Amino acid sequence: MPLIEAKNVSKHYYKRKGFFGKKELIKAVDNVSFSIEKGTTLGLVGETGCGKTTLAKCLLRLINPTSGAILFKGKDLSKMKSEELDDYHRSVQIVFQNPFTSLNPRMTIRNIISEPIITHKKINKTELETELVRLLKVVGLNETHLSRYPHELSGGQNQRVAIARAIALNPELIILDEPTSALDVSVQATILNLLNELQKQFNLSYIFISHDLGVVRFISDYIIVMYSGKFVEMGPSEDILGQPLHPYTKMLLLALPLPDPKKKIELIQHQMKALEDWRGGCVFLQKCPYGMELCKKEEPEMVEVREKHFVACYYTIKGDRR
Amino acid sequence: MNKLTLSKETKITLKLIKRDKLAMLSLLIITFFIIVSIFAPFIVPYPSQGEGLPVPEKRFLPPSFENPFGTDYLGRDVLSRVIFGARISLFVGIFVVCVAIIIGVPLGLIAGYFGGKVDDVLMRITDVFLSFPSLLFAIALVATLGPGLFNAMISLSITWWPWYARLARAQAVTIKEQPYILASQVIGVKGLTIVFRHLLPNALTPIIVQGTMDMSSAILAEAGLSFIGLGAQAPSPEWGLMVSTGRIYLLNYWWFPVFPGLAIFLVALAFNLFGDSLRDVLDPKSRKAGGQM
Repeated sequence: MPLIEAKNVSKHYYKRKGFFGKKELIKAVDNVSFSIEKGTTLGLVGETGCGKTTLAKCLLRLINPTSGAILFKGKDLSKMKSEELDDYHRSVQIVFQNPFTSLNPRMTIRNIISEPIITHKKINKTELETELVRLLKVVGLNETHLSRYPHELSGGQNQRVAIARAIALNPELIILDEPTSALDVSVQATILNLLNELQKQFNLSYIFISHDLGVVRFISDYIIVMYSGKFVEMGPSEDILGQPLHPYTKMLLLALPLPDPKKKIELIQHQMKALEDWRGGCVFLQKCPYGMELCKKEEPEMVEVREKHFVACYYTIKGDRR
Repeated sequence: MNKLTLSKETKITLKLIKRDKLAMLSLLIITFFIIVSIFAPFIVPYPSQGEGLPVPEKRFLPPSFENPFGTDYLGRDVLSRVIFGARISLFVGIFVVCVAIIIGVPLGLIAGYFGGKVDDVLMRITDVFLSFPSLLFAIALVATLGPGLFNAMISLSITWWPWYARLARAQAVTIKEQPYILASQVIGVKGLTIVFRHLLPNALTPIIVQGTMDMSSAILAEAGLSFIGLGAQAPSPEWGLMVSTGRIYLLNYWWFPVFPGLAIFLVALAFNLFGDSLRDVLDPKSRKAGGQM
């Protein structure tokens, strides 16, 4: 049984244009399905604004999906009782992108890491203290950091604290929301190594969200490529990186990271516009170099082209590949 | 290791306040009034007169070495009474602001954090309170409760908490989107615990600034209520009451109303200035302009 299974999950928002304007439907996440096995890493790749974080929030139960079901060990999240939900909160954790905003600036490292423990367990002071020291050792810090504040530590150290908080309850799945993109390149590598080690040590599953295929390549067993709220390609890492099928994946592999924030805003606006203007057909059509008549009429479905390698693109499936 | 570590914020704040001359001056005035009011019975020349004992043979003496601020219509030393009055005014200021914060801030944070119906209900209640002019509302309340210092303080607190609820709600709405709040939600921490553990400490800065500024308004409002006879009652050495009883003698015996008036002015000004510079110091934008740290 997969650890987590998402079935046709959608999250739709309404956006009103002007005061008297019509309500418009924005499909932030549209009809996506996937599953993740214990001990594996799922890479979720896509541009800013494609719905990666919305999907993560659905998985974390921070927002409820508009439709579809998320199953945790076969049980539907929306039908869980409060004790089961408690168990779920213990089993699924998150590490955010920016360690400076994901740690409360007014709390010491001790209080930050204690929070998950004291929320879920009754524990006395000495036990808590030994547990805290153990956790810090696991992530490569030591007890001298306990009484410090987040602003007294470096970005990498803070990210280690965030990881310590995430693993404090022995979770089974950690969602990593671009955990390295706010860090220096040299620090990125050490954090990725730490995550790899922790995965082996505790048999963790990861969902690694990123826009950087280079980082995802390093850590993922399985990759999903997302565009405008939809999955366009999904498959084992080697397949996706070695033999990408969808035109968008190919573009991503060719593209370099965008250091220019203006470009980033353009991209978001472009995707937003693509979402608003969408009148059926393939969402990627406007940018796609291979657009066909069929792509305008119908929305491509995910089709398994190779073993476990799915793609949603008529050109790839039907078009001639020259 | 266990040394007292002030947060970086606090250190910078202290540094900037030390650099701001006006802030230091106002802080000095406030501290002076606080110390004087704590030790009032030991430092005033005539403690019993300060509390209201009349001395008929010494009526309306002008300021002299014996009575630096002169004496009033019952022969009491004005200096002693002004110093005793500081106790009342400072207490009123602190009490009113604290009660308003204790009622308003939790409600505002809860409204902002939970949103939806909770927010609607709480904010409509504050709207009802805010739709009356606050001093008028306070006057109506005192009139119902009966005149007196304590009732005046209660009514001022009741009219003021909605301002803090509004302020706290605005803070909560911005802070609740912070990743550290999301992280706590993911851990499964209950809503109210998040409000008090994470929101409150991070929302406090503008509330403290507002509180400091309101200290002066509270003192003024209380003096105002006493002036029109709804606050402190004779023989209390309340400043507003002293100005009120002294105003008919202003032309002949100016020292009787002028010194308590001056005291009100000084304390109100000091709190206002201090609040002002506290706001400047705690605002990151103006901090940049203040030079590098």
